[in-house]
Amino acid sequence: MKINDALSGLLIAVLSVVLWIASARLPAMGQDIGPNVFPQALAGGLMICAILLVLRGLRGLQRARAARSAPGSRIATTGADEQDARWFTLPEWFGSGHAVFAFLLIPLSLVFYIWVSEPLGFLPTAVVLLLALFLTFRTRVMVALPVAIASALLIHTIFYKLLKVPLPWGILTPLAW
Amino acid sequence: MLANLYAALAMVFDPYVLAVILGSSIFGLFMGAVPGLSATMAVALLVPVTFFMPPVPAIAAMVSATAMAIFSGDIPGCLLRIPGTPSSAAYTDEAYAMTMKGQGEIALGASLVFSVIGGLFGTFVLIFSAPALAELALKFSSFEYFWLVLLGLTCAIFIASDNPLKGFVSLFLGMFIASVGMGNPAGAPRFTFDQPDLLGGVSLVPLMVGMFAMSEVLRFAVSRDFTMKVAESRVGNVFKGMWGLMLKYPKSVLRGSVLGTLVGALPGAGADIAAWMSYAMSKKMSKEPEKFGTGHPEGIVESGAANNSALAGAWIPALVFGIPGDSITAIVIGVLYMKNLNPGPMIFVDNPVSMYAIFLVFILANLLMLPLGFWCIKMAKRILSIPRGILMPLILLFCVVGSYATNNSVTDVGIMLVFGLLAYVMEENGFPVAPAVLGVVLGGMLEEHFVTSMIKSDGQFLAFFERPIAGTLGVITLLLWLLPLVLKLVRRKPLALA
Repeated sequence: MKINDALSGLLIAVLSVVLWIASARLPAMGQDIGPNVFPQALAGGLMICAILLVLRGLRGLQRARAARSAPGSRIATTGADEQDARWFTLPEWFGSGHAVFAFLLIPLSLVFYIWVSEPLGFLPTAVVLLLALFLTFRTRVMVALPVAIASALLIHTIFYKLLKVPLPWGILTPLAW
Repeated sequence: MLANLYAALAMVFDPYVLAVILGSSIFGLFMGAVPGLSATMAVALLVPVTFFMPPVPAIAAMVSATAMAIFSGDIPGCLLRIPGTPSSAAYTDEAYAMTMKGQGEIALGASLVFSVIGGLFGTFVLIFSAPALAELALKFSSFEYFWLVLLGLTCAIFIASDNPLKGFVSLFLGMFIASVGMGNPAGAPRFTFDQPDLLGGVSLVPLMVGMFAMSEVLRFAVSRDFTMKVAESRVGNVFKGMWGLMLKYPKSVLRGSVLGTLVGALPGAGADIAAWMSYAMSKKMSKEPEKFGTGHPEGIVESGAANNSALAGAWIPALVFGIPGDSITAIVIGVLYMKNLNPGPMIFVDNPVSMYAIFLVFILANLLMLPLGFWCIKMAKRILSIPRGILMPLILLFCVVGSYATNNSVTDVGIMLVFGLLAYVMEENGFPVAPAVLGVVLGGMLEEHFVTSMIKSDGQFLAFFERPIAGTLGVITLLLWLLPLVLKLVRRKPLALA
């Protein structure tokens, strides 16, 4: 996902304003240099960067438009110019349904882990998560299933047994070892 | 001093520590050798594991894993023309050209032997310069530290990124993240959204795991590049002919090691930049620059030494001032704080034994690289044939468990997810991630020194320039900021006239 510098500059400008206002509301704690000073300095710095980014982005847009409207200049436009000319460029992998699915599956699998690991337990959650990702990355089921189970058990042993991290047992609680 | 050294020896040559060094070395070799897994990622993934160790083995794990990973990054460069870590990218084409000429053995051997020499050189500079610098740093007050941190961050942006403006944005975002929580001089809760989990600030471990490891898994998911082809080459005795190379290019070895250590010691510029600069330098100084790029070992000798010496060099400012020399030491500094080994000049006074132990681990890890690296080269084909479609999900699960492990809370898994996505989007749009991490690590320190100094001077900003060292550092920092603007104006003038 490529966002034009002018647009990302705008986003950063909004962020810096929010940051400034939120910092201004912090309690002074009876000091001249209160907890608001440092974040407000950061907000100021971000604002300067944002303005420069917007200017740069707009200049890029202008240059690209000029290049396009000029007759006979078609050959000269490079891929980078093409990107400068748009507010927003979708990544080239967006055309492939499989790639989009693979990309989305990663955050989804983490959300799945966050919601399900406590009630379901670490081992089943990990096996489901790994299996889904293995299969998406084109691993054969005959390989994916044993590898998923073995590596879930291995990671469980490292963290639960050796490092004493209380990974949840969930539905396997009666079998806990 | 000798008593401390003996104590340090006893600490390092403990079976548990040795086992940790061996284990993390193998882990590092593997991470470096697989393209897409880098030395920085190796450290980020080690953090949750080292969380449960005493300080010396924890640091030992990181030192040995990174040293090994920087070397083994050369292996896929040689066999696949894909650098295993960014630090090998500078001479990947050269090494592959050698493999194509049937000299893969020499390329791999040179990578290994001169990595060891560079690493040892950097280590000795670290051992001798760090305590001396610390002596000087003991005289520093909050004014000097304020400028030093600022100068470090400035160097990080101007040297390490080709787009300083975006580097600044990234740095400010990092420092903003650092200001979340109650860890500020006033002790006021900031930007916590009334979440008790955020009172202590954003947890460092999930943040780093997300930014350095999970973002890489995301990039892999859309690369659609699930298998790799290994070049056919027989690898026999890689040590053959190395003595000859050493005698033929002694200046290259020395130049690479010195430049690497210096670049490493500069805040923000790490092994990858050291390798690029060193390769360019080697070509410039060579008697036969026309041979570069056609499979000529000279550049590999020089930049292979440079990237490993940079690794040790980066520890100098990290230990003495608490200012990271690269993104790896940025993570290490976070770990040092977690272990109550607060970096700074006092570390050499308070914990001399731990310091000697760290130095010993550096030497040991670099020496261990010879046999382990040899073995790794032998195993290379098998390592490279592990499908990445299997590796990457495993790394993701490791990220999840590692983030969970530090606080035993799934909130941290959420934090990792947020920062992984953020790092991915940032890099896609040309915002470098390293300054953000430096900002997170150094933001608190910068604010603390700023506020302390302002209170000491009754709000007089001029006081920041009144002490000689502080004034000099301040002027240098300001000059560095203004330099790009001046250059721009100078460059634009002729255009305006025309």
